[in-house]
Amino acid sequence: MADFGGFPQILSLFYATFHPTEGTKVLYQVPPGSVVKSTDPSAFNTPLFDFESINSYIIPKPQLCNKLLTLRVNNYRIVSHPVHIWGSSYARNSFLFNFCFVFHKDADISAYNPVVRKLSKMFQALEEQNKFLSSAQMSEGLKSIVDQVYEDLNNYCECFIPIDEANSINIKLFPLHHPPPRIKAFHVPISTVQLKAVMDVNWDPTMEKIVEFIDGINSVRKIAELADTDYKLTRKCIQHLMYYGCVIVVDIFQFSNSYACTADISTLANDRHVGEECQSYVASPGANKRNVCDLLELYCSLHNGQTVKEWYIANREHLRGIDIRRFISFGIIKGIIYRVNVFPVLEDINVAATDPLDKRLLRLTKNIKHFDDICTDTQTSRVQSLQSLEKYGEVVLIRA
Amino acid sequence: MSSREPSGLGGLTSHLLGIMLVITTPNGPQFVFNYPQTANAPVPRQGKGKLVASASSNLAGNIPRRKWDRETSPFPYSTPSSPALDPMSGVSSRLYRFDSPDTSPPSSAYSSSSSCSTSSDSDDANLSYSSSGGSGVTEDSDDDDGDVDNTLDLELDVLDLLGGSSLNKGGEPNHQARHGHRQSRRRRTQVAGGGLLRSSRSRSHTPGGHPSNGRRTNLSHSPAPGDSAGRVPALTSDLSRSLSLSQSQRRADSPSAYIVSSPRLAPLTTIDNSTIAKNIMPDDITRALRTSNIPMSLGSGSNARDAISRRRSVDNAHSHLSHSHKRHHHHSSRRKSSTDSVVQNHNGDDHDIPVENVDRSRHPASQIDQQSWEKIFGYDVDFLAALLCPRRSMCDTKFEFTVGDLAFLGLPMHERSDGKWNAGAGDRLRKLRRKPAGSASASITMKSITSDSDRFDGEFRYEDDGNEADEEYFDDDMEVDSSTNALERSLLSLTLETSQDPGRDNMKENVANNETTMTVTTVDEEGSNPATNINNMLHAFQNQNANSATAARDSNSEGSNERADISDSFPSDDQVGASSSAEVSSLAGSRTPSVMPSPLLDSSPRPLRKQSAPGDEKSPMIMFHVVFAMNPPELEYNMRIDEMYDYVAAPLAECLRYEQHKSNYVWKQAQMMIRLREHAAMSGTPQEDLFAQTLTKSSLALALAQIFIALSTSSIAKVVINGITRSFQIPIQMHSATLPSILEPVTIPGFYLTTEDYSARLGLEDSQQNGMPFLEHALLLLDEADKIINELQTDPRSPMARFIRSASPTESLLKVAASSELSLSDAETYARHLIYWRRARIIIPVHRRGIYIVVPTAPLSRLRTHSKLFAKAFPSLPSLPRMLEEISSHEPRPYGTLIPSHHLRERYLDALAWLLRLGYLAQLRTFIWLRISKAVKRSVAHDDRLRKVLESSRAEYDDDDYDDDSHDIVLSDTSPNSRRQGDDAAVSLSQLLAEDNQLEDTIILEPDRANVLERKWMDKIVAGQNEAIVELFWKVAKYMNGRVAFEDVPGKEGIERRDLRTLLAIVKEHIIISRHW
Repeated sequence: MADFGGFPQILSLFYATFHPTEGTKVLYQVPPGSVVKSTDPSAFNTPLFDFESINSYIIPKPQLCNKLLTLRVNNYRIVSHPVHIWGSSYARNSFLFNFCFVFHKDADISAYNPVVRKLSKMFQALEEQNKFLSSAQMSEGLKSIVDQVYEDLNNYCECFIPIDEANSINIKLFPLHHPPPRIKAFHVPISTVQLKAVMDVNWDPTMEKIVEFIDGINSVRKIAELADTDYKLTRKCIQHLMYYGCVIVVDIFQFSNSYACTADISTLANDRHVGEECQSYVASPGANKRNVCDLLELYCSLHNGQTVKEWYIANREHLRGIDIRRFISFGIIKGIIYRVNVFPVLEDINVAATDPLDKRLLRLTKNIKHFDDICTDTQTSRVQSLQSLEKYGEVVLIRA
Repeated sequence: MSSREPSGLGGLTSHLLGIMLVITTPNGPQFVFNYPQTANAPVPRQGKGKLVASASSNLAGNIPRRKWDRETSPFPYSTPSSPALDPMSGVSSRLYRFDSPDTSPPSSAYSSSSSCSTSSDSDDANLSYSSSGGSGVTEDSDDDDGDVDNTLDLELDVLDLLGGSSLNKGGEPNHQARHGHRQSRRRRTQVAGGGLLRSSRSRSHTPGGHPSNGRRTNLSHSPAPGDSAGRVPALTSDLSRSLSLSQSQRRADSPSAYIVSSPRLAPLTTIDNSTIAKNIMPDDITRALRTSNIPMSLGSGSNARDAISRRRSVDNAHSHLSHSHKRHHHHSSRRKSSTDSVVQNHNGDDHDIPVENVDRSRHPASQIDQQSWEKIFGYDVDFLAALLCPRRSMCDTKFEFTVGDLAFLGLPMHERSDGKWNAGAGDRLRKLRRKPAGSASASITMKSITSDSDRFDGEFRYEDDGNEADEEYFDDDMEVDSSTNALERSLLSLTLETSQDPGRDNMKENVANNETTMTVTTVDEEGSNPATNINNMLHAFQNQNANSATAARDSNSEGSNERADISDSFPSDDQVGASSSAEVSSLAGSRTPSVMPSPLLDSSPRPLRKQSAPGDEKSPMIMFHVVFAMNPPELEYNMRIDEMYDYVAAPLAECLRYEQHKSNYVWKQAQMMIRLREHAAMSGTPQEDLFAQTLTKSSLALALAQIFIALSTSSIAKVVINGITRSFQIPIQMHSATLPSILEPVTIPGFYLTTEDYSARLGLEDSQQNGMPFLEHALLLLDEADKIINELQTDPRSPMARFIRSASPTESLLKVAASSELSLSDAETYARHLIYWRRARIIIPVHRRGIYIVVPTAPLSRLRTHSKLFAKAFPSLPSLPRMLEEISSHEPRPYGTLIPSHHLRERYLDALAWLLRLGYLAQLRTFIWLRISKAVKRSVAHDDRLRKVLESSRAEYDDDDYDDDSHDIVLSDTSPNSRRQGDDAAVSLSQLLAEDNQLEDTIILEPDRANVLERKWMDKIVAGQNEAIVELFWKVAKYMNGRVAFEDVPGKEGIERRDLRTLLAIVKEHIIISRHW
């Protein structure tokens, strides 16, 4: 699961405005002294950075207002969303303010971007409604709001502050994930959480249908078939689950598959936690845990040009108490082994088929797809598809 | 359970949108260049900002020339307290030091110019110092007294001359009318220009003996130069401003003027001529000679004319006013006699421009044109420039500013407080800190291996301390010179300037002149080029030019003339090598597009450049900033920004600073680009043409464009900056130990899998410490040898080429070096070079004994294409799919088993290299762990226990008070009670049983740091073997950590493969063998 606690700390939060005569001014800052010198007894001795040199980026020209700005200063990064409000009631017919968040320069601030934007939009609305910001120089209410946003976001990653009967600040940090990769029909989702347990009535009906078939064995295509759902919707659902880290994707397990170890096999030897995890994961129900060295040796004995079946026969006595499917899927998930796919290649590519199924088969073959892909697409068995291919010339099998 | 992290491979896009160059001069931030031009696409605005932003930008766009501090500054209202925006106060005191008559040395400009006129009738070009010196001094005092009058006089003189010349040519009335238009327009811009000039700086170290001293003095006395001219009323209203202007102006002054005025250079000019004569092709000389004739005859006329086109240029030399008057004065006095020749000598180079300008200026179209290219990313360029020119405190450190999705990244370089550009101590620190660890750092400057330089040194040119020290020394030296020898220098310049006259006179008859003349002409250009901004004068000169132009070529069409103008008037960088010095001479120096490429200086090699350095220091540029505009995805933001900064932005900025420090390169280039822009703006040149022009004229613009293109295609930018080839790249990770997830297919061609990170070993800086890390390995060329040689532009007969040809995937570098008769260090250097340029990679020499597999990352999607190539390359071998099937369908086995007969071995090995190169195969290598079985542990424990029991019992017999600890070593969880019971044997037995149950097979993770117990276990493994085996075991045991490929071990330890195989067979019960890449 995603690390919800992994948000960077806000080092400082300050509120700056443009004063008609005094220019850019910091009206409030938490912690005190973090941006400009403060008389507060608990203030920082020296500010984090020299505010004077960057104040033109804090209150910029109108062109840059109402946009998310980030600026790097020394070891810090200031994220802000300056707001410019026109109005004849203001001293220069405009009011400029900015709530700025300061982070360490290497912090991943992506989760804060929407928060900064939202906060400034909200203050803009408040200001436009009832001059919340400009009415007083610096109201106690605003101070406490800034304090609370700073404290709550740092400590609880969310905050809820009622301002008046109509308005409240309600923000929460959400991690930003990479968009899920496109998954294919032959991919097999494995759930990492109890999907049924987290499901509620608001879930998508397709999702409700497919959840029970996500068992680490069925491919996406098979799940769609079993759940009697649309394949594309099923795929979307599973990608959605992937985005939130609720499922991971492996390939189809068959005894005719080949596997070989990757360079990451060393993690099994070096990382005790992986070793222990492996021990408990691969053990057959009721069997004793196997020694990590045995497991390592077994993984190392997987290699190209050997099916799982052959491998099982060769290592039968060593495999006692081990669930082979779980053994393989653990290796795949941890990346310590990889699936050796078989790609059928027709020597002669200038063949044409009349049968629609064969046509599809030939098209896939010409695009160099492996058997998993071909079989889930044409919904035939591997032997069948190989036989149909052989009608069109010699088939070369590349294992990679 | 957690899935593997996304490997982040396959992402090749650099998310680079454009590269911009902005500079700060006393006039404020200025936009210089951007690439690509299509970066002008407006950035979508959001929400309420839309109205505001577009309104204001429209507003800004409609005002043709804005004052920097109002509309275009990103800062709403510059608060008076902001120090960076208001440098005037601090400056004025310094100014007085220069300008008060008593402290300033005699105004050398005057002395030189006036003595010019006095000596103009002298036939001897090499006028002696003494005579001219004398006249200079006398003239000087005169000037100091009657400045204003003098200026006015001069003005009149010039007018006189101009009128005369136009009369001479029978100036057409419509020209006059046009110039009238022009004039009024000019005034407008002047007003704006005054605004632009609100900030300036002075430099206390400026050599007092600079020719412009006279100007300065002059200014301090004359109320306002603009007013004295009476035509530019709003130009400069207060004295101090004009003073500061003159200060900055002085810095803007032509470096080539310095070349001549520097005493050191006096002898050099002649030396250079000879060296140049040797270095450049005769053709070049003649060509140069041909071109150089024209401007010589034009003289100040062309300068003045060109000054118009630079209405907005940084060196908007208002303050040169009076000075130029003087110049013109003496020119005129000199030239009056030769006006005819001047006219006749016009080749009609480019003189349609003014006419053209006038025409265009009436059309609003030109304004629109102008506007269109002054928007970048939807922002006004001036606004952007101000935004991207941060204050001093933010310079010399990473600049990173993001607006929405658009990130601006760079390393703004500020001149040092002493006006120099070389790196300060702080910068070095930063550099050290920033240096990316390990991998081939992108800032390496591999000098291109050209035919003339076979030896190349991968050095940081700009970190070359020796060089820098040298420079500094030189600078200091010059400073002293300049302050003390002002007079002498002025005299010198006088001498040289005077020497032009004979050349000029000769012009009439003898067009193809000798070198001296040409040098001198440059000087002449220098001297006169400050002439600016005086409308009348310009007017007159334009008139003259236009006339001559029409006279010279009536057949040419307007448009083509115009282009010809620019290309002729700016020395093109195309003939690089000479580029740097070309700029020294004509470009930066003359803010005129002086029509001469000045071949002498062009081709003059380093010494001259170095000499000219201190003179070049006088740039008004305070800061420059190469900005990389990017739009990295939010989640990759930090990574993308950092890699761009570390590998390109920062090294490039530092490189440019070095060049700026050395020869004022950035300023010269910026100046040229600005001028081209303005020229284009004036004449309404289409944007595309301007781009094309800028790229052909400016080596820096070209370099930035090349960098942009290279980075956007993830390749290596090889650019020539100031005559030195440098390269920039964001390294691509071409290999990985981790297999990418099945969900992210690899898209990098040639990607390969290996646990061996050669790039870490390639860290170029510490090659000495590491010895030569991969001499045992072979070099796999990633292309055909001849193609590589061609691409690297290496001489086919050079050692480098020899090395490339003899490089073989089957032979270690050691052997290759031997066979190509190269030293090991050379071979290694070449290998590094090839690897850096992504033309080769390091592999374990391919061998028929090696085991290879078809990797999951094999580019099977391109199998069809590759099959054809393979069939062509290896007709005698099976087809590519067959080969791959053969390799992959069995349990991995040595490649040799595939080879059907001995005589095909070579072909098969070649095919193997081919397959490795394309990323189809990976070598399976052997990694070993030591597994300590229960039996071994038990046996060791037994032995120990036995020994301990014996020892302790002996101790009991010997000594009654034995130590408790001796027991605890073996029986760690022996309870004190049980021992108290006294029956040692019984206790130990039960303990042993308990221990036995706890014993487990384990792996020794760090055999080289094995503890005592582990060592005992290891001993046990080879117990009973013969001594040789035991010794061998201990030799290789340290590699049994699962990280070192045993294929490498024989080479590392100097042992026989056979022996190693024997050993592994013996201990095979105790090792876990894993095979991967």
